[in-house]
Amino acid sequence: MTQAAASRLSLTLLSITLLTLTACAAGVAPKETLGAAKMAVEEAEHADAATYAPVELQKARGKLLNAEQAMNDQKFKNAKRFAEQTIVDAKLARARAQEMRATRARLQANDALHDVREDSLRPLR
Amino acid sequence: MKTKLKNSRYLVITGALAGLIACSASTHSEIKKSEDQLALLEANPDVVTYAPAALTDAKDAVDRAEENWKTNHDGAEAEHLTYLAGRRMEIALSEAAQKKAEVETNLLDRNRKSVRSAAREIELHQAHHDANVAEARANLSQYQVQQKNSEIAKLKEQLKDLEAREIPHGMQFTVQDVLFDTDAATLKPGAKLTLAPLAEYLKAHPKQSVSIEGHTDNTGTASYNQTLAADRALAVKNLLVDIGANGDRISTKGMGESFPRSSNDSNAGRLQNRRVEVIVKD
Repeated sequence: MTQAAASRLSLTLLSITLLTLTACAAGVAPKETLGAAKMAVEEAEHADAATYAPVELQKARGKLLNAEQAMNDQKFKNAKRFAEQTIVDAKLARARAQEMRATRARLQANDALHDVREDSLRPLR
Repeated sequence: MKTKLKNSRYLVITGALAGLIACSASTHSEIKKSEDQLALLEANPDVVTYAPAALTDAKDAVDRAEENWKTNHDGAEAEHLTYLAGRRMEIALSEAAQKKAEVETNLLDRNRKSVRSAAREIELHQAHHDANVAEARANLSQYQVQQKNSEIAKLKEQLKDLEAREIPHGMQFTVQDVLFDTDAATLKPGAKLTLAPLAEYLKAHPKQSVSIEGHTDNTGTASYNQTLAADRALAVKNLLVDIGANGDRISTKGMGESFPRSSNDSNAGRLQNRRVEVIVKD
């Protein structure tokens, strides 16, 4: 191998390494995370979060838009972060909606028990 | 001059270090806050009981933030990961509240059902009790009727010598003429034996009202017959009182010849008409 050939080879190797590094720095498009984020928002909507936890749901929707925008801009790291935040925001919206509904059901059950006590035990008093 | 320069170099280095420490401390304090919140969450019995999976997720998120900070010292990433951890902890709290409310709702529902069935049972018992009382009352009144009937039967048996008849509001007994001396208001000694059961009955029932009516046939004047009838009724009363009956409840009346029981045309008819009637009212 001549000196020139060797230097050419090392140059090639160096450029390949640099290219690979650049690809790594740019990251991979977080398609799966974004999909999970969309699904989480849908689940929250399904749990009537629009009625029972509108603030939390709105926050999740905003983050999802941010994630999609970052995806379009090829800012994959940001996109992944926004998507991950979307997931927890949506899950919180869903949890709050379910909590609200469960709390309301307990209140009704309590009222019903009170009524039954009043109705059925009144003749005995 | 040389030492001064050396000093200023030290200052720069110290300043840079201080900056580094300050920076690391500020981010680290976010993670520290997450750890404190996690400790509170793990000490919350509702979360431990009702949302163990969500608690594990929260714990994993805090651990991840911590690990990442230790290895990378990446401020932005630390901020991102502590955000996720904070949300995870809020989710755990919310889930715990939801599950707790559901469990309590179940309890309340079960309570309501048992109160309702208890009330129904009490109602049934009450109805059963009422039915029992009604039945007992019916039995009692039936018993009283039977008692009354048997008393009447007994009285009839006792008074069979007196020729008893049932009338609309009581019993009527006829004391025959043969018990009296002829044309007189005095009773023969045998009359006492005949009237004794009636007297005993009246003694046992002192509130029983009795009216005694004297009747004659149409021989002799009407006024004589009237007086004789009244005297004979009184004689029967006196005998009953002598034996023990309550005189206050016994009234007497002379009816004379106006209410014959039979025809006055024959001896037999006239015999039937000469009589004293004792009416025991209900």
